[in-house]
Parts: sequence; C-alpha cells; structure tokens
Amino acid sequence: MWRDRERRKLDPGLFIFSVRTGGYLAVPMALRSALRTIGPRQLGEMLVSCVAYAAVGFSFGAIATAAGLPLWVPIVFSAVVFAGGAQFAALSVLLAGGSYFAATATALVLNARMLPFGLALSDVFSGSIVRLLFGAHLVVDGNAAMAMQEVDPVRRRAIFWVYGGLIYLTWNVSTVAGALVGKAVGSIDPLGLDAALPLVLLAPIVPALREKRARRAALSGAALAIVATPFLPVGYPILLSLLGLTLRGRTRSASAVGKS
Amino acid sequence: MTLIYVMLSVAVGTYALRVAGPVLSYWVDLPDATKLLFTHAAIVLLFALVVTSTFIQGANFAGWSRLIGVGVGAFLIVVRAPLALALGAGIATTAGLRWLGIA
Repeated sequence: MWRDRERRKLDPGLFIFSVRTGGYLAVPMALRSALRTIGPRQLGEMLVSCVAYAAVGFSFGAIATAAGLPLWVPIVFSAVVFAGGAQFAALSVLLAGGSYFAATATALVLNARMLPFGLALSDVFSGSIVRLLFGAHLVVDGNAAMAMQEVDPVRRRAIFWVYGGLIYLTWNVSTVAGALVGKAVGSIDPLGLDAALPLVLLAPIVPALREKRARRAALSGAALAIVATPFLPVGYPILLSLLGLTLRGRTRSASAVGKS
Repeated sequence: MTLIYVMLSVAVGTYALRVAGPVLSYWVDLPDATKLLFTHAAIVLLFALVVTSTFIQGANFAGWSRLIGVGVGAFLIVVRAPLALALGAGIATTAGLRWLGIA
C-alpha cells in the first residue's frame, strides 16, 4: 500500500495510466496498445498538428516576454491554463491595458466551449475520478475534435489521451522556448507565426462547417463579431457571435424536406 | 499584480468548465437537440475566434500580411491539403509579405 502511494507522489502522469490498466508495469504496454489502436494515419495527423501547436505556443511565450513580462509568466500560464485562444485573449487584453474583469471574462467566454466538449466526450473519463480530474485538464480543441469524430469508444479514448498528452507536452515546451527567444530578440513579427493561430483553430472545424446549419450559424456569428469589434471592449465580440446560433434555420430533416 | 489574479482566475475557471461537462452528463441526460446546440455553439465560437484573430489585433485591423497568409493557409485546408503544408504556406506567406515591407 505504501509503495503504491509512493508511486503516486513520484509520478502522477504515469499513475493515470496505471489506474487505467491496473498496474505500474503495464504503463508502456497501455501506451503501445493505445498507439496501435490509433494507427499510423491519425498519429501522423497528430504529429503534424503538434508542429502547429508548437508554433502557436512559441509565439505565445515570445509575445509575452517581448512585451516585457517576466519569463515565468507565460510558462506558468501555459501549464495551468493550457488553452491557446484564451491565453492569447487574456494576454492581449492585459497588454492593451484592459481590466482584470475584461481579461478574465474574455478568456472564460472563449473557454466556455470546453463545457460542450466535456459533455460530448464524457465517456472518455468514465470509470475513475482520478481519470476525470487529470483528463479534464487535457481537453483542448484538437483532441476533442478528433475524438468526437470517432464512434468506437476504445478509439475515442485512445485518441483523446494520447493526443491530449502530446499537445500538453508540445504546448509547454514550445512556450518555454518562445519565452526565452522573446526575451532575447524583442519582436517575432517578422517570422509570421501569428498566421498559425487562426489556421490551427480552423482546421478541426472545417469538416463540421461543410454541414449547412453549422456553417450558417458560424458565418453569421463571425460577421456579427467583426461588425461589433469597433463598439465593444476586446473579447466581447466573440461572445456576441453566439447570436449566430439563432440564425441557423430549421433542423436538418425539416430543411431537407423543404428543399425537396 | 492584476496579471497574477487574471492567471489564477482563468486557470480555475477553465478547469471548472472542463470538469463540468463530464460531471453534468453524469447527472442529466440531455436531449439530442441540446447536444447539437452545444456542438454548434463550440463551432460558432471557434470560427468567430478564427475570423477575429485573422482580421483584428487588439481593437485594430491586424494588417494585410496576416490576412493574406491566413487566406492562403485556409484555402489549402478547405481543399484538403495536408495541415503541415497549409500551415507552412500560411506562415511563409505572412513572413514573406512582412519581409517585402507590407504590414
């Protein structure tokens, strides 16, 4: 018993997997079988996306320290928040002189999407409270979008955990690298990395946008957000985009009937 | 000091939002229409973030170089090019335009 507790203290990350598989020695095997479940095609997609996450994490770290913030700020931020859009939003509001409330509200409104992600993925955490407590922190757009496309529960689970872990690792390492570079060079604008964030967020929703109702809601919401930008404080236009949901029309079956 | 409060609040709030989904689904079984609404809400928020972070920096226009770079990358994503290519092309376009002196 004491040995078990000792292990938990030493290595919480491995402990998650040991809970999953029932034994400490089963950790590498569980990981290997998860990798086999996912398959080379999707693993490749994950690794490519991780390059993208690295570019975004790097620019987050660099922008923060280039603006004069201490080194530990972006590093701790990435570790405890682990949500790119919200981190950028909070940082840009603060750097633009926004208040505590504006910065916090903006970031949390953006992260409100974690709630539907969690609802849709609840089966991935089922069975253990420890799994829920650790796993919840790993919910991000990339692994949520990829896992939600799977029907098979074993594949959903494998994709969620492996991809989530990969992104967490990539995100934090690249933030540290960016923070160090930002401190050294001052501005990273010439690298063009700011084009990476919209693209990383766009890629996982493109399949969903091919569906008519979702596309209509998204397009009208985004139009509202852009139009409202000059009139609302930074961050609020994104919240306003939710009004696009009221413009998505009838349910899919009804619109199909209407068309035919 | 504000910074530290923001960081803490965002961390705690984000974690709460992440845990709330699975916990909520344990207690209540939502109808399909509601689940679809939540899915669409996430898509709408993400897409709004894509568009605003393409066009806007703070409260101003973000500049042509980013807009064109994101446009190139988005086109490649929509025509189902590999993500690495789309990203590389987007970043390279933005960097190239800045090198040419276009903001």
